[in-house]
Amino acid sequence: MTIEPSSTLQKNENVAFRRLAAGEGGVLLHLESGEYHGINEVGCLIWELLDGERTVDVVAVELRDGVEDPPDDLVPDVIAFLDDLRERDLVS
Amino acid sequence: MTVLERAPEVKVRVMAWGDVVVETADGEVSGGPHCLAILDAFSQPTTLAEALEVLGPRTGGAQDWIDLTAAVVRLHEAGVLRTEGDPERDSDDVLRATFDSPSPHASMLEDRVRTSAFLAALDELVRPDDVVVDIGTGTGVLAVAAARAGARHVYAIEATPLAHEAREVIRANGLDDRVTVVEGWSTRISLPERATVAVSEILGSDALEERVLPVLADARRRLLEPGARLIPSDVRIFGLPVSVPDDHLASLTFTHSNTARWSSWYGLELGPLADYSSRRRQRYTAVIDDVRSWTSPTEPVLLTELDLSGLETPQVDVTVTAVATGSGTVNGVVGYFEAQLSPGVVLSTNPALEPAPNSWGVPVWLLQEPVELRRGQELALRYVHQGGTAGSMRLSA
Repeated sequence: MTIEPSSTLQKNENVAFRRLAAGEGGVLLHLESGEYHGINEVGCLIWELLDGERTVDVVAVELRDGVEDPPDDLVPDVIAFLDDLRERDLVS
Repeated sequence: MTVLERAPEVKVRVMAWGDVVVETADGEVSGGPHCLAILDAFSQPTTLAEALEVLGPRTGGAQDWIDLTAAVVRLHEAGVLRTEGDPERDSDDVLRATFDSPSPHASMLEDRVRTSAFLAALDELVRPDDVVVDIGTGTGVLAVAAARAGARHVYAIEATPLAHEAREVIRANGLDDRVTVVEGWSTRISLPERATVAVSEILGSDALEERVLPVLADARRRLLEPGARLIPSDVRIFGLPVSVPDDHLASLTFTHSNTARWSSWYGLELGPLADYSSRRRQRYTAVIDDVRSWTSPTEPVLLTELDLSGLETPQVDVTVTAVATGSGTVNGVVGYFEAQLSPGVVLSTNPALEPAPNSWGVPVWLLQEPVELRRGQELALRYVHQGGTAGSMRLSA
């Protein structure tokens, strides 16, 4: 299933998140696979906006406030990032 | 959501350099400096998120957090933190406790029919250049036989400490260059190459109770070449509704007559125990010779035939109808199996064979309420195995 602007994604509950030092992004740990996935600052913001209720386009709108010089349309970037997370079973 | 809890008995050693090492049945695992706090956090069933809420503030920085969570992962992988009610782990504990002593292995070696049948099947199926995996090698006897039958290499997998003895047996036979003992559960180890033959003497009295189906399903996915030959290749499981005689029941379960007798012997009131059978399902293993004389108002019915090399799912849930050929009471069902080891070798636990063909027992499921059958009446037998160590049998007339 492709991720649409109207999609809502859930964080995998077996994933733990931790921010690294300021400006250095964060890390996601998948408990079952034992793998760590590094994400950048924007990725951290998106992760923190995922609450199982916000749709992708709402996430993109709220993300705009936290990003310097955002492009006109953030939705394709958010979708690409979430696709990546989904492939790694970090969200569903 | 995965809920984890600490294994019931955990032995730890605190090392001088600050690490805490946890001993497991398979060896040791390092729990890191936060180990005791982690074990404490999972002393009750807890999700990862809940545990990290408690543990997170203990960490000094991001690297410390990563070290702590990595320790959680290691302890989870080692089975120290286990999924609540994980049937596979529970089954592993049961199987390890059963096979971690000489007795079951001596009994299997003493069973000349059984062991010789496996040796004959290996002779029939193993070709030069085959790579063989022996799942649950025990004393190593089948691994040695596979190498002697011409296998290029044999991987002998054993989860109990008997792996040490298997290694010595292999060395004593001069085969340690062609047989590698791998310690652990087959479902959690990898091999350096895929095998072309799998031999696994992991059939229980209830054929599936040693988890042969999930174990072989996993082996086919990860350890075997496509089209690998399996020993056994097929298992046929039969059910026979029976009338278990009263004198046999008296030493097995609570009945009205034995509880009355015990009440009079000991001057106590033990009558309430007689209700146990109507409330609980009971299953035990009988000696084949004991079962032969029990009467049955039906013929045995084939419950299922399992092609182990092509099975899609490790679960079995079948309902088969038996038709009464006479009249009588049914208060139990005897199970038995036929295992096709190779095209020319079959092993059977059929109680009709005399003398008892081998040292396996047969499972007997006792009914909660006896069923009266008349000739021509139908009886439905439902046999269920979910992949753990316990199967169930239910009857409805």
